[in-house]
Amino acid sequence: MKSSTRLDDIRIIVYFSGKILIGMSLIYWIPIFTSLVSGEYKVMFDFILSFGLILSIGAGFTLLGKAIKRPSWTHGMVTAAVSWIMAMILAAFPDWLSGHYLSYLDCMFDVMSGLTTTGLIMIQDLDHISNGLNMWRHLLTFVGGQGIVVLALAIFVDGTGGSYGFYVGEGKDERLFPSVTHTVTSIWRISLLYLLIGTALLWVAGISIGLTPGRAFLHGLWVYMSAWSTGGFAPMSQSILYYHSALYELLTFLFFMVGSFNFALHSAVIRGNRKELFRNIETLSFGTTMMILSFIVGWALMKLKVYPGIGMLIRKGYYQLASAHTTTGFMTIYGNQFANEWGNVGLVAMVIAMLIGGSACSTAGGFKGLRIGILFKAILQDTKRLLNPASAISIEKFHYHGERTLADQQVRNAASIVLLYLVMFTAAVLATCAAGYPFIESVFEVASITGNVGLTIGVTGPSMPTILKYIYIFVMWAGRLEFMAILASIGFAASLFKRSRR
Amino acid sequence: MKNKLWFPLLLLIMLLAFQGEASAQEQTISIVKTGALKLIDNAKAYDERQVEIAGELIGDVMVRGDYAWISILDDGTAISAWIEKSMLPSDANIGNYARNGDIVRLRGIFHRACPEHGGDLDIHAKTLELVSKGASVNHPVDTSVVVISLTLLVIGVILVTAWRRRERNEQ
Repeated sequence: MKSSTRLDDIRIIVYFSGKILIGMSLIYWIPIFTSLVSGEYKVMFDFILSFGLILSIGAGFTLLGKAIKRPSWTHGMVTAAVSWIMAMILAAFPDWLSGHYLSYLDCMFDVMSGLTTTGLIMIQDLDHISNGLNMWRHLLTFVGGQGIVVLALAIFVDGTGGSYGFYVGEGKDERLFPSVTHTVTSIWRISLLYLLIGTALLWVAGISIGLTPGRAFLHGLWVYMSAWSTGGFAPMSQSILYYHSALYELLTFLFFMVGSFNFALHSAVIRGNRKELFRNIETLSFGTTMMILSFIVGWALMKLKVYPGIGMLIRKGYYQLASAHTTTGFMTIYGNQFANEWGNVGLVAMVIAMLIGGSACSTAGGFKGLRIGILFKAILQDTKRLLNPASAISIEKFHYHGERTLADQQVRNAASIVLLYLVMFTAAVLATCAAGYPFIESVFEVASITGNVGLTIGVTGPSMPTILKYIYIFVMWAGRLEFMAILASIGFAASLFKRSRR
Repeated sequence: MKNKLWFPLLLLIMLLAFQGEASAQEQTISIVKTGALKLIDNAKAYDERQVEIAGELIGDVMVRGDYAWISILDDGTAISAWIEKSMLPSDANIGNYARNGDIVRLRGIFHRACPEHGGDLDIHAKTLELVSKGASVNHPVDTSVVVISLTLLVIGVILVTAWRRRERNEQ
C-alpha cells in the first residue's frame, strides 16, 4: 500500500513537471520568430526541433503522471527542483545544435547559468552567434529571473490548489496577494511593464551611441532582459564595455538596481506606497552594505592607483561593485583586470558584495538583504539584552511592508539559509583550489557562482575541469532555489531508497 | 531622513563620474606587436605604449562625431579601438553570424584605463590597414533537422491533444 503511495507521489511530480515543461515550451516561439525575421533559417529549424522535443516530453510526462487537485508541499518542492534540472537538459538542445559549444555539458552549464541569472558562459565565439540564439540566451535569463515555475503557474491560471509549495520551491516565499496565481501574474505584469519601458530607453540610447535602429532595438531588449533579471548575459563578449557609453552604463546601472528589489516592493511603489522604498529593511540593508563596500573598494583602488582620476575610479569601481552586489554580473572591465589590478582588498569587498546579493523575492541571488537585516537586528537585540538588566524585556522591530516584531523563528530561518550558503561556498572553494586555482581567484569565482552573479576572474571557461563544471552547475541551482527544494528532494529520494531496501 | 539620501547620493556620484576626464598623454616609443589577450593580461606593462594587433572586425561600427568605436577579435578575445571615421572604408565587412569580417591590422596607443573614455581599456588607432577581405558565411538548412523537427512537432501536438482530452474527461 505504502509503495503504491510512493509511486503515486512520483507520478504526481512527473505530471506537474510535465506541465511546467509545456509552459516553458511556449517561449521557444520567440527565438523561432526572431530567426525567421532575421533570415536565419537553420537556427529557426534548430528551435522548432527543440520545441517539438520539449513539448513531446512535457506532454508525455503529463500523460504518464497523475493529476491531483491539491498537491502537497513536498510535491511542489520536489517538482520545482526536478523541473529546473529537466529544463536545463532540454533547453540546452538548441545551444548544442548551434555548434557554438564544445560539449553538451557546456550547453547545460550556460542554460543553468542563464536560468539562475548567473551569467557565466561557456559559449565559443559569442561575437558571431545568430540573433535567434542571442534571443534565446537572454530570454532564458529573463524567464529564469521570474522563475520557470512562476511562468507555468501564470500560464495555467485555471491552476492548482496547493500551488504555494511550487512557488516557494523556486526560491520565492513572499505573496504579493493572498492568491499564488494572482501573485505570479502580478510578477509577470510588473516584469513586462518594466520590459517595455527599459527596452524603449535602451533602444533610444543605442541609436544615440551609433548602433543602427535594428541593432539598437535587439541590444536594448537583450541587455534590458539581462539587467532586470540581474542576469549578466550580454550580446557581445565584452559585456557592457562594448558600448563605451556612459549613458548605456547609467541606464543598465538603474535597471539592475531596480531589478534587484523585491517584487513586493515594486508592487507597493506602483500602488503609490513610495515610503516603503525608504523604510524597508531590505533597501536599508542594501544601502548600508553598498555604502560600506563602496568606501572599501574606493580606498583599495585609490591605494593601488588603479584609475588615474576619481571620476574613473567611481565609474569603474562603483559599476562593478553595484553589478556584484545586485548579483548582475555586467562588466565594464575585463575579468583578468580584477586579478591583475584590483588587489586583494578590492576583491574581498567584491566577494562580500556578491555573497550578500540583492533582495528576497526578486531576480537577484545571494544571502539576500532581508536575511542580513534580520541577522543584524538579532545581534542588536542580543547586545541590548547583555547590556540591560536581566528583568528588562528587549523587543526589536523592523519595517518590512509594515512594522514587524523580530521573532526567534525568523532569525533561525535566516541563519539556516545563510549557513547553508556558507557551507556550499566553502565546499566549492575547496574544490576549486583542489583543481589547482589560486585561493583568491577561487574565492572570487565561487562567490560569483554561489550568489548567481556572473562576474568572472577567469576561472570559468570551457577548459576548466569537468568535475568543476558539475559542481558549479549544482551550486548555481542550489543557490537559485535557496536549498529548500533541494533538501526536500534529497529527503524524498532518501525515503524512496529506504523503502526499496526493505 | 538620512535613509532617503543614499540612493540619490549614489546616482549623483555616478553622474559626476560620467563627466569624462582629461585628455590622454600619448607616448610613442617602440611598437609592440602583440595579441589582444596578451595586451589585457599585461595591461600595466603595455599602458600608453604604441601597439600593433591584427584581427577580425566584428560587431558594430559605432560612429561618434568624426570618430567611431570598432571591435577587433583576435584569437577569441575582442578589444575596442577608437578610430577616425575616415580610416574605415565604406565597404568594410563587419563580422557577425552571417559573415566573417575583414581582417585588419591596427596600430595605435594602448590605454589600460583611458583618461579620455572614462577608464575604458582601449586602443586609440593611428593606422588601420586591411589584411584580407571578409566574406558572407553560408548556413545551410540540414534536411534531416527539418524532418525531425516536423516529426517531433506532430508528436508533440498529438500528445498535448491527448493530455487536454484526458483532463477534460476527468473534469
